[in-house]
Amino acid sequence: MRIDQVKGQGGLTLALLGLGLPLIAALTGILFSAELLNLTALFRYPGLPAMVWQGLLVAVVVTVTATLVVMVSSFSISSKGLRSIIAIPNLAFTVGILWLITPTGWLWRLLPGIEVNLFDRQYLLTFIVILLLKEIPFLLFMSHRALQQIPHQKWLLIGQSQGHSKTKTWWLIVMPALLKRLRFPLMVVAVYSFSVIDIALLAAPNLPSTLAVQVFEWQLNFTPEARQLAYTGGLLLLVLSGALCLGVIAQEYLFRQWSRKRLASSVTAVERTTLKLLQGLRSLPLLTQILGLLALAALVAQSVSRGWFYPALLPADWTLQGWLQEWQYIWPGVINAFAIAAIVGLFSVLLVIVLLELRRKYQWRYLGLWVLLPLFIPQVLLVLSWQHAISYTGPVGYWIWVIWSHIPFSVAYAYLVLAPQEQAFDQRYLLVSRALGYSFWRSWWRVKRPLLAGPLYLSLALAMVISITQYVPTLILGGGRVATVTTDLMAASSGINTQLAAIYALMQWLLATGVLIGLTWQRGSSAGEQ
Amino acid sequence: MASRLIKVLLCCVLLLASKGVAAQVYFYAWGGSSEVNNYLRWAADELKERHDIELIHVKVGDISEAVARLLNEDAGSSAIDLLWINGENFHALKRAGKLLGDLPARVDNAAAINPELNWRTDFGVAVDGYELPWGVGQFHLLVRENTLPAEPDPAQILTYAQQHPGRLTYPKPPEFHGTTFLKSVLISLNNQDERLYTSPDPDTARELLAPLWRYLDALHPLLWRQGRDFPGSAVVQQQLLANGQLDMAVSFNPQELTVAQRQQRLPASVTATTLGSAAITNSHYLAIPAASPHQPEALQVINFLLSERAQLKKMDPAGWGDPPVIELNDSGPQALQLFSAQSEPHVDWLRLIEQQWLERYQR
Repeated sequence: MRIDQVKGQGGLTLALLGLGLPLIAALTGILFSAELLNLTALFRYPGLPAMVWQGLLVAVVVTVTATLVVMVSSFSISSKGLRSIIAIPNLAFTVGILWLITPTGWLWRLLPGIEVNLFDRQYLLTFIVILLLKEIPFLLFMSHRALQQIPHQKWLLIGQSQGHSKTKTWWLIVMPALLKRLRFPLMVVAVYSFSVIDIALLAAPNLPSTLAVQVFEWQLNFTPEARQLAYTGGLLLLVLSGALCLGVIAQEYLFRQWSRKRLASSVTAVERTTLKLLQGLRSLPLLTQILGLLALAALVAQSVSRGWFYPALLPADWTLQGWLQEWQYIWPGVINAFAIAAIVGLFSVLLVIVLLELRRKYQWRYLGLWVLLPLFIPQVLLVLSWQHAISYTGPVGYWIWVIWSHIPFSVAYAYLVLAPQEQAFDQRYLLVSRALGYSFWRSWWRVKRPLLAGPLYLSLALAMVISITQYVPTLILGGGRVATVTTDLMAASSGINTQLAAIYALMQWLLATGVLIGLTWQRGSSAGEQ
Repeated sequence: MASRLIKVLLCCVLLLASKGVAAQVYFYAWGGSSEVNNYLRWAADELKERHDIELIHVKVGDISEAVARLLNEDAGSSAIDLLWINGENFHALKRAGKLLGDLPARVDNAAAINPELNWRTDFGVAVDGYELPWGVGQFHLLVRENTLPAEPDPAQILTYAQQHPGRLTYPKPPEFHGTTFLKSVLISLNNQDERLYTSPDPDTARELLAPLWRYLDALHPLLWRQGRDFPGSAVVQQQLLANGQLDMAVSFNPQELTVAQRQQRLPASVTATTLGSAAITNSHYLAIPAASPHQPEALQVINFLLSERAQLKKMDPAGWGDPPVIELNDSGPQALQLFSAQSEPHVDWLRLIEQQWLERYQR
């Protein structure tokens, strides 16, 4: 497969601009601040061990549970309903869920006399549950796409023909293959659970906080001690994120070992019971969807109500006043967010397409890790080092920098969706077309694009949603010139006015879901499976 | 058709051109309150009309995000023209030499600032002309009726907690509502000891802080979740109060209760009172980055915000309800009820409290 030399170089330049520069800027930022390293101060900081173990515990529990749920249920769930859940922005989702399940939450108001104190604010359990509700749909979604790459129906038949039960074939043959394909998505889940800030600020314990939240707070404190702590803590966060990625590989390895062993021998009684019990997790995806929709309904209700105190089932007043007052101020942010997302999304998908063709050509094995790296570095650290790098180049324009800063994150998610599908593509189709005299990219456009239409649209949609929800880069690199629905939402959520926050959260959700559904409408989950 | 298109295009060009004429002032300010946002929308309209200045409110969730940007900016022009800050954020910017000085001489209406207002130090650090006060904050308690007595002192709070365990708490330090609660208790327990208003030597620190830690050691097991967890912010604490899980919350805005009850965010059965007999009172300020490319206009904006017209509008309880910082000729349609004022302890006490609190209670 030969790509024209010139185009290859053009692609390389593009790849470097889009991905290389942001990462190089970040890495130099980290290296040049090495004088800030102060391990003693970090390890002496009150509560540090608890911050670390809390963060790791949450990441491990969420990753392992989500893996199990995916294993027992990706067989049976349609991924269509998951899309609207994936598009619910974190903050809105967390606020909605807390309003439902905390002890004074609305769900329990339906059942007077019953007190459920299991899920309160600032409980580790609540934090884990919310992360699971958020991550399971994402992972299921990814596993659907991965399953399309595996001829699992054929394997099941072969397994059964050799006398293995369907369950056994599923667990021992299909699952190890699936897990391998879910390696990157699982790493994203693990690192995200470990380094998430917005959800943790609302839902996780704070005496002490998780390490990620603490690093974020140090970063927004400007004493010399806090700067050292922020830098050293950021590095610790980075190292532990790396360890979690290795953990994901270890989980995959252990599972593979186990399934190999069991394929030869028979499954023990204990293991059989465990597997049966695990089937109970099957109801989780459905529960996730129901809770997601309820959280959405809660947001709608909060945006039009006043005076809704525990234990009242309904608010004292319904009013549209909040909407009427904010209506004209919402739109600029929505339009800006959409415009930026459209440019970022298109550029990201183009970049990923080029990268994937280059991967074929040059056999880049570690491309995935490189592309996903921005997701594994604490975002504030990344953005501040970008701002620093940008100041050397002079202000080209705030909009351009905002768009530039969104691209690494959008590229990462676009890559997650597109890469496995692209890898499974039989490039010989292109050969035929090229034999007819078309240039490489012309044949790509005529042959490969239609065949990969589903994944292409989906990766575009996901890239746009990711761009819509970016806060820190938009605020800091936008210099206040670029207000989006997300920066408005973050400002609104920092106050006590839940109505205001709910209005902006809903608008953000509507925009994200609109994009996702609009771009993947009727292409369903099976598109691209030709 | 074509002529219509040209007209539309012309209109667009004119619109852009007219936009280009007005100087733009990018005002970074917390955007979490619709009352403040609406007030700034009003101010933007006024400024546009009277001074042809376009005031753009850059809403941030936490002003330290803007401070991070400013500290990270190299020499050259800043993206920020005006900031709403106080306390640690101001200290950081002043220390880094990022602010325009000599503001009292550059802003005419600064002469009208109420001389009784203790604004020349901000959380114990000299303002030195690098910021001007915009409004006043008073630390007070929001209390459910028939629970705590009015103006409770620390002993009465402890007694109430003993009778009703789990019904009180305070935001987790270093959140500033939480540390201010601790400062109030410290002042009260030491009977307004004068040494609290100067930088302490180690012996004084030990002597005056000892009663605070003894008090907290006794109080914490009686707090919400036995003091093993604290609300992350005053907002969370108010929500817990609204839903009946707590009997007390805290606030810095003297009009918080009025506004919250009008919007039905807090039940009618909540009243406002001070911890002890006086409220720790401080100002919130406006400052201009030294590298702002629109300093003359930003100064004009400050001048307008300190005008009688703007300050009267700001104190309107139907809107923001923030106390004025200038001496008013017209006392306004409805004078604000303020608590009696108490000064902030010296800033070094704040650092000691934050640090030792974490060492004692965050393990």
